[in-house]
Amino acid sequence: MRKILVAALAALMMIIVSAPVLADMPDWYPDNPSSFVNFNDPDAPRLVDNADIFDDDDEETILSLIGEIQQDYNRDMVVYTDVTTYGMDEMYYSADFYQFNGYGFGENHDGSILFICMDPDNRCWWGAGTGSSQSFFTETTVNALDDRLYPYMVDGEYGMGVINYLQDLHELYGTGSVPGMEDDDYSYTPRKTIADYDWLIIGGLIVSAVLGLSIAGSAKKAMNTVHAAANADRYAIPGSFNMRRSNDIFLYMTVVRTEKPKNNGGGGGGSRFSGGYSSSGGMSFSGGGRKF
Amino acid sequence: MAVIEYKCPACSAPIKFAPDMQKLSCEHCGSSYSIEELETTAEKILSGQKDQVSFDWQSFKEKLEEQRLTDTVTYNCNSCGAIIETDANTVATHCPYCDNTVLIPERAQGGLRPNYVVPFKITSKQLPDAVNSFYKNKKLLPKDFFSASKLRDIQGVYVPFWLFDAHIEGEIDLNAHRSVTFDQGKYIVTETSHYMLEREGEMSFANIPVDASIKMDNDLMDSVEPYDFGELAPFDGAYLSGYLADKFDSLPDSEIYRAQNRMVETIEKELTKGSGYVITGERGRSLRFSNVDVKYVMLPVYLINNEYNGKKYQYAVNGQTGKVVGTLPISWGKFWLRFFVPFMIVLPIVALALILLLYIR
Repeated sequence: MRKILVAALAALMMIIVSAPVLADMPDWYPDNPSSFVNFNDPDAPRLVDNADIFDDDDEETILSLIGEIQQDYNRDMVVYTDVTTYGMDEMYYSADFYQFNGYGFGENHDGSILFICMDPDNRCWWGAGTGSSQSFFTETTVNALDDRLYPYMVDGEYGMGVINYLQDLHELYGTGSVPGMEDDDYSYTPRKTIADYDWLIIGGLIVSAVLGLSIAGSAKKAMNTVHAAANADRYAIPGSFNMRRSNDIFLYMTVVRTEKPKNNGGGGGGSRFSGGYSSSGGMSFSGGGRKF
Repeated sequence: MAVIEYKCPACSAPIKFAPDMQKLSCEHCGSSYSIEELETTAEKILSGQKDQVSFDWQSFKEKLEEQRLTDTVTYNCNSCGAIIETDANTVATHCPYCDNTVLIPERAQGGLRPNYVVPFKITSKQLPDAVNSFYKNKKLLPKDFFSASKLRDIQGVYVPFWLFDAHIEGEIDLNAHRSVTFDQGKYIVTETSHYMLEREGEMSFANIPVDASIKMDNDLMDSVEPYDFGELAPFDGAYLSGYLADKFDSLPDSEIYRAQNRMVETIEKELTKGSGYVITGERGRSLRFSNVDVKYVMLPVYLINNEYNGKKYQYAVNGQTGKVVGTLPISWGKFWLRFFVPFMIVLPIVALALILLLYIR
């Protein structure tokens, strides 16, 4: 009886302690991840836009591209956005989302996930693959994919960015290379508009105004040759100047130390990468991502 | 008697003698100095002591009064009050200051005789060429200026000047600093060393001209310099023939400050030249003028009065060198045209660059 009471008390304590944690996790998160039994759910939505960053046209195109990847390569693809990672690292959170929602094809759950977190304190994305997709996510390919995605994300063009990412992933599955990977510079920038060159227009106006003021001002100055005499240089008797005393007295020194700016390096080759990690349920992934 | 106050060299607060330390102590920053240390490092404020000039003005005036011009005619301008003198054979046709043509000759005591004169070298016939050269390259002159402006008959005027000689001794204390910047690991370090510069020196000047006529615009007379005082001649009434002469109405002790300011500017420049520091301010200075001497001279000037669009413009021509100075009217249309010319060059270049960047890649 006593043993039963102690066991019951211990269980109650565990529930009380873990309740707050469990209460903060999403509904799909299992109570006991380590003993989760994997499954494949063909009906689970392949586009989950909890952060609501895509418009209807984007969603249609994204779903179409996901369908192409599934059909052409028999690999699953999930695009998931949210405003939180429930305190988890985005690397593990995306892996758990993939595993615990039943994504993946076949017994190895072949497929990949692109997770975008729009938490204002942690805006980032993570792209990873598992099963037959895992080997495609190397440090090189992840950097190349992320270099091409980054400009869209910083410009707020999330829909276009994901569409291009899916197209690049399709290319990666087909050829083994991300477009442009054979070049030295993986960087890709979307076509610029005139708004991207506002600095050139403003700079041109400023340079013109400065030149104009200089030219017109100089001509105006020449119109008035009447000025008070400032000094008596020409009336100094040559050789009469005598410096009697010249002392330079040191008073004190001030020292200012400024930390050099850090290079955040989001624009090229700057992805965080992990070449083999496991979800909470033990599924193996490779992938990487960046903050934006 | 001048009172000397000392300031702390470290923080510039007043510094007082502390009996318990037998030293001068700063209550603000806690620094202390012996009197000997402070004599060499503290800022000295010479309170209540202005720049000193030693000169016997009274004797100078009395000496001038002893000699007056003779065989001259004095004209009184009833418009501006100018009193103009010339020799008995010359007729003043208009006032050189205000262009008034009604001048009343009067019997009056001749003006005080100048010590020296620089005679006219430029003749009135040479004036149109001199003035045209002045107009040349003045790009903002209104288009109709030449046809609309009128040059009257011009008469040369001997303008009264005081020529000052003086010796100046100056002490100046300055705040200055020098900075060095370098890398130190992940930091950029800037070290700024602060100094007090003590400079003392002396310099002599000769023949600094200051016009002695209240009516004459000071800046105009400053601008018409320089004169070659190597051609100074002892005054003779014959020089007035054909020319007018103004009488001085401002005494040298009233005008010496203009010469003083110019001398101070020059000696300060010499004292701080080539220091290698960035000068941030002046802590104090003391100046003494000695060996002051004054000459009363007549310098040749043509005053040209011009009228354009109802506004009067006056130019002065140095009667020795032909240098012309004055203020000319501005065509604002020409000004803005010049301002916008760079836009017409730079903006098409910007447009071309945009086309290349946006469409041709």
